[in-house]
Amino acid sequence: MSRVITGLFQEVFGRPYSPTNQDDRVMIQKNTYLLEKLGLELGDFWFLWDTFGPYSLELRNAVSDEVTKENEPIQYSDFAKEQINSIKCIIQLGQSIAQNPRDWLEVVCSLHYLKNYIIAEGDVISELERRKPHFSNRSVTSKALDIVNTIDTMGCYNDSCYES
Amino acid sequence: MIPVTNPESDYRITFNDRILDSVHGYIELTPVERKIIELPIFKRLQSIKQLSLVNLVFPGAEHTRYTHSLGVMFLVDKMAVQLGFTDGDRQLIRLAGLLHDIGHYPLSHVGESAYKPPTKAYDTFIQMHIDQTLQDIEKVERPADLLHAGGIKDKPFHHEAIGARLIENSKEIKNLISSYCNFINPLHICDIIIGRYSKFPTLSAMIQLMHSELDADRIDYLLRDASFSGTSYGVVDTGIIIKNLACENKYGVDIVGIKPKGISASDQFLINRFFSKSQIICNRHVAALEFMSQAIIRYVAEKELFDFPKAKNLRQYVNKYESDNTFMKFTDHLFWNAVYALDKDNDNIKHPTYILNFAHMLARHQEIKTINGTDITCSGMEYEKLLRSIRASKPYINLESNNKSTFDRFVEGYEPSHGTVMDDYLIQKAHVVSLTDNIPEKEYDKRFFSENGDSNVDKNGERKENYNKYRLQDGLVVIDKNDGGTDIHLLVDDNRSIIKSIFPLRLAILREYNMFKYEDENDVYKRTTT
Repeated sequence: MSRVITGLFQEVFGRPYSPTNQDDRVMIQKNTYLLEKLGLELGDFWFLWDTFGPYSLELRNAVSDEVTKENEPIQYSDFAKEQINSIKCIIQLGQSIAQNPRDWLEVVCSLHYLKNYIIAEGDVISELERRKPHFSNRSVTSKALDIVNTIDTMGCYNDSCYES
Repeated sequence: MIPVTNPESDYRITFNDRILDSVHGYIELTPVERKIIELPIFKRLQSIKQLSLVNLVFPGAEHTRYTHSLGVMFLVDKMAVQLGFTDGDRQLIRLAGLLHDIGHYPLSHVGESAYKPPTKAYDTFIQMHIDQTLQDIEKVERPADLLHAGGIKDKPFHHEAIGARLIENSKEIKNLISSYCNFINPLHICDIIIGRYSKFPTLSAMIQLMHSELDADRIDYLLRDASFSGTSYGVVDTGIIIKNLACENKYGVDIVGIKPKGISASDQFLINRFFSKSQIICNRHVAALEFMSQAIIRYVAEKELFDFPKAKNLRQYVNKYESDNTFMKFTDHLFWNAVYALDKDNDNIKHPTYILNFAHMLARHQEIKTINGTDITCSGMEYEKLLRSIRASKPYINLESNNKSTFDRFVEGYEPSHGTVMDDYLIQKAHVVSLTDNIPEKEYDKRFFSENGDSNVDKNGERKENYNKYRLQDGLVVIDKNDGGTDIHLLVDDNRSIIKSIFPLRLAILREYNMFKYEDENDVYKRTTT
């Protein structure tokens, strides 16, 4: 399955996964987390809150030595393709407001985790700001929260969500 | 223990009705429970068998998710009383027990597996099955741990996530709760059902009663499955287990565990669950029937045939179940309707050959044939040795060979030209059964914390405490009060438990079936049109 996970990384970010690159290590965690929340079965990963938001030790172990092999392309199911497209749309929206994919995915995943697993009542964005003061731009975090709400309600995020 | 519901509430548990259950005797009902079980969305569970098609092999196993839900409510309340819950908290956990399976699929876990969308694209169903079987076999060497915990149940297609979504969107359930017990937040029921420990730490004890290795759900299904199937693997000393439950605070949360006097009963529970799985769920006839049914459900759901919703639309149907009855009809009846319709339709231009054959067999309560001498069953605690035995077997060699084959569209094709029936089309199916999901603390540390991958020692220390907390919340815990204080640890770390010695035990089964032969019949199956 780790081969599929690094393959999904390449599919979304357009380049192979490198376990020695810290940005890649963060992004593979966020990419896998979101794809699981969108319904892909990628393994029994237990995500807990950590420095950069939801993080799975099991996932870290699974991909610690894994490098995407470009000569072994994986054919994805239609459902997987739709959800890969959801992540691409999310990244695209981030880029449209000058957010780099790593930070943007961290904001989206952190808000999703806080909303669904941490915050019982109250403002999720304020909680994010409390835990991660560097994410204090409300126009950015409120857009990220819209994405989280769409994922929770619709189970996907596509171009039409982006346009709306 | 801090009460979850308002302790000032003057709510008292009073029963105004009862239902006779063949496992627990009379199960008494409070007014709100009486109203909920009258709702069609709850009665839907009467049409979902607890053990899918096991009744075709063990004829008594006709029990449903409906009676199981009542049984879980009954047992979880006994546990709550033992732990000294307030009446308000008892009502909350009783409702969680009653509603925990409300999101279940047709044929229970068979339907649930069929609805998991594959990540990879497969040309044929068989290729997907081969890939899955190879992955199942790999599970032999995967150390057990608590990865079933935390957010795992929150995968969108898990029946508990579906159930929580349904409650969140159900005006009728929420209205009843607010009319009869307005001190209960329906979202707490959802969080208990899914097992969201981190969102409401105060729910910790309640979640463990529904979501741990020794919870009311598992105890009820073990008792019920044995009682109805007629097997003897359901002997659980429920009285001793419940009377020895205790709750203590550790890592800032309530941890429910068993006192030392309950250790043997807990050992017996885990061992009987192991046998129950290996003898009932992994029975070769049951496995064949489930394989066929799963293939049919996957097919009809993908094509949206016979009112089966497509996986990606399921969430929407759950959201609007009060205005659209698609989800209300999502029961075993829908599956059997599809089977009979496919059998009647019998059109191999419209449907793949294997689907028509499976429907024809299932409509006659027949299953595909196990190939004699290919039933490979190995048990052991040395995983490499176990894997070697499996990999040296003929079914595995055939499986690998199948994996390398380019499958023609013969079996799955829609072309009308393939009127011939295959003589031998062998497929393999694997099962791996483990004794416990827990591993001793030393092994866990070795696995996750021996190498500090992120070069931040303090961070790792914090992580470790977090993981230890969740391991206790999700595992089978011993609470030992002695002169030196209170010791709280997992059963697998307790010298008095035999599980400590045998926790790595695995049972691996690999079998081979012929897709086109009836069980107990030598002739190649021929459909009525050929």
